[in-house]
Amino acid sequence: MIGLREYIAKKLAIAVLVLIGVYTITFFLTFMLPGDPARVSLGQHGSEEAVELIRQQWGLDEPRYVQYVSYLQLFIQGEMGKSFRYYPRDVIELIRYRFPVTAYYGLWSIIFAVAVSIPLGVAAAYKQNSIIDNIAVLISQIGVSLPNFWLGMMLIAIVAVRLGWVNPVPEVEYGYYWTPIGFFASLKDYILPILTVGTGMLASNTRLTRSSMLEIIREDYITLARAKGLSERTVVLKHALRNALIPVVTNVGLQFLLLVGGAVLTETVFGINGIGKLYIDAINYRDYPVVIALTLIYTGGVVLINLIVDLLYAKIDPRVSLR
Amino acid sequence: MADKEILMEVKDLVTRFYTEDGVVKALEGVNFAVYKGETFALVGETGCGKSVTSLSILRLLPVSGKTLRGEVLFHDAESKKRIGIKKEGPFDILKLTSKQALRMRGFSMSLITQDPMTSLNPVYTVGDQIMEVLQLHKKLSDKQAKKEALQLLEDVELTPAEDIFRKYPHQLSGGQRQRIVIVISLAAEPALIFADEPTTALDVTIQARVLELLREMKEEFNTSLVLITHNLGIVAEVSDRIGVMYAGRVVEIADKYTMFKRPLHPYTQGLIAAVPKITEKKDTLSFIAGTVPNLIRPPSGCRFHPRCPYATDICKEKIPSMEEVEPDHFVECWNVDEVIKDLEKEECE
Repeated sequence: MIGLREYIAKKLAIAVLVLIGVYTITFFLTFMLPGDPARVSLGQHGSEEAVELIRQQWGLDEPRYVQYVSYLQLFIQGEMGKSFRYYPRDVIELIRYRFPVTAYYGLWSIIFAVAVSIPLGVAAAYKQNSIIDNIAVLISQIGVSLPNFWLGMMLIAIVAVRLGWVNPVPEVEYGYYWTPIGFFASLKDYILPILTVGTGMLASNTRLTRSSMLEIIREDYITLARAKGLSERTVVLKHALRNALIPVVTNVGLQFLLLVGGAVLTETVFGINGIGKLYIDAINYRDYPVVIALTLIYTGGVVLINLIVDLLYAKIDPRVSLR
Repeated sequence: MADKEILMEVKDLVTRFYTEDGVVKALEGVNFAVYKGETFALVGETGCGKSVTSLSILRLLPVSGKTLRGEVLFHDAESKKRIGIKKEGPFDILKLTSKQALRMRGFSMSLITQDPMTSLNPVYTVGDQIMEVLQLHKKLSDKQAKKEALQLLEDVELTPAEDIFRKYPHQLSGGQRQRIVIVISLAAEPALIFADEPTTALDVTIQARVLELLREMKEEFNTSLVLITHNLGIVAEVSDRIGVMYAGRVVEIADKYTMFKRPLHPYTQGLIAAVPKITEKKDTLSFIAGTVPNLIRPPSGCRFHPRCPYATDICKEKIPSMEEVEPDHFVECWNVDEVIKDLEKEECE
C-alpha cells in the first residue's frame, strides 16, 4: 500500500491530464457551434465594422489554434479570461458571484436527501414488507420517475401559488444565506428548489440503502453479532449500517455532480441567479469563455469528488486499499 | 451416564417457517438433552432441521420462522444470575422476554457459524469483535478486555496476539478466522456452544486442528458443545453422544459407540451403512432409497415411513414416541422390536 499523500498526488497528476483533454474537446465543440459571439452581442443592427472590432478585441479573428493556446496559457496562469456577454468582466468574477446561491440550496438538497433516505432505507429493510417498507418503496419509485423541472413547477403551482405558504421565487438578499443565521432563515425561501433537487436524490438513496441493507442483514456476521447478545440497535447501527453504507457513499458522491445538471433546470424554473442559470445563458449568448470555464470547473469537481469518495471508501471499508 | 448432570433439556420443540410456497414444518417435536461438559452431536442430512434447532434455541430465527411449541429447560445458576431469574430450578429459554434473551445469548450459549469467511464483520478489527463480547457480558474496561482478548488469542495459538488483534478479517486465512470465531464464542465462557458445521468450509488439514482446538478449549472452559454436522467422520472423532435427526425430529439418541455399532432406527442404519468403509470391498455404494421429504407437505405419521424397509400401517398414521429401548439408548420407531430381532439373527449367523 502506498501512502495517502502519494495517492492524492498521483490522482491530481492524472486530473491535470483529464482537464487538458476536457478543455480541448470543449474548446473545439464550442467553437463549432453556429453563431458568432460578436454578432450575438451586438444584435442584428450592429454594423459590420463594430462586429469586426469586437472580434479583434476578443481575439476571435485569430486562427483557432492560436486561440486554443492563448486560453490554455491563461488557464495555466490561473485565469479564466473575460466574459463575452459581460465584457470586460472576468469569468472568475462572474462565477464567484453566482456560486454561493447554487452551493446553498445544493448543499441543503443533499443534506435533506441523506438525512431522510438513510433512516428510511434502514427502517424499510429492517421491517421488510411492513407499512414503512411499502412507503419507502413507493417514495423511491415516484421520486425516481418524476422529472425535476415538472416537480418544481408543480411545487410552485400548489405550495406557493395555491396554498401561498412560501414565495414562488426566493426573495433573499444576496449572500444572506451563508451567514450563520441566514443559513437556516433562508430555508423557507429555498424550500421548493431544495425539494425539487432533493427528491430525486432521496429516492435513489433510499432504494440503494434499502437493498444494500437487505443484503447485509442476511449475512452470517449479523447472525453472529446477534448470537453474541448484542442489542438490535447495536447490530443494525454498528454492524450492518457501516457495511450497507459503502455503495450509498458512491451514490451521494455522484449526486454532488448531478447538482450542476439539476441546477440548470431548477434555476430556470425558480428564477435563481446561480451557476445553472449562468451556464445556460452562456450557451445561449455564445459566451464561450464562461462555457469553457464552467465545464472545466465541473470536470475539476468530478475529479475532486471521486477522490473524496475513494478516500471515504478506504476509511469505511478496510478491504479497500488505495493504489 | 447417570452420574452426569443435565444442562439443557429440549422438549417437543416445534418450529415453522411461513414462506410464499407454504408453511415449512421444519421442526415437529424435537426432544433431546445435553449434559454438562459433553459434546452432543446432532447429525442428519441437509435440511433435516439441525441448524433450525440451534437457531430456535438461541431464539435467532429469521422473521419468517416461528417456534410454536416446546420447552428448552436450562440448568445453570450463573445464567440465572445474569438474566435475573430468582425462581428455583431450571428456566425455560423460550419463555424469556426478548430483553432477557439478549443477556442469555452469548453468556449462556453462543454460536459458531459454518463459514469463517463470512462470519466476521469485514469492517471491524478482530480485536474489536472479541472485545465486544467481553465488555458486554463481563463488564470489563477497555484495558482489561484487551488483555483478556490477547490471552484468548494466545490460547488458540494465534500469535503474535498483538498483531492479530489489530488485523481485519480479510487479512487472515480461513483457519485463522475460524479460530477467531471460536474465541468469540468462548469469550463470555458460556455453558453451551452450538457449533454449526464448524469445519465444513475448511481444508481437510486445517479441519483436524480446528476440531482439536475446539475440544481443548471446551475442556478448559468446561463448556458443553452441541456439534451440528452431516459429517459422520467428525462425529466419530469428537462427540460423546449422538442425536440423529430426520425431517424435523430426533429419531435416535445414543452414545457414540452404541450408535456406530448397534444403530436401532432404520434411518440411522441406512445412514451409517452409506458411509463407505475402506476395509470392505463393495461393488456398489449403499444408499437409502427415496428422497428427503418435502417439509411443506411431509409424510403422515413417521416421516421416514416412505423410505423405511420396516414400515407397517401404523407408521403411516401415527408419529412414534421416543422410547428408551436400552439404557441410555433412545429410539423413535414403531417397529424397533423387529429391528432388534433382525440384528440378533444376523449376530447368530
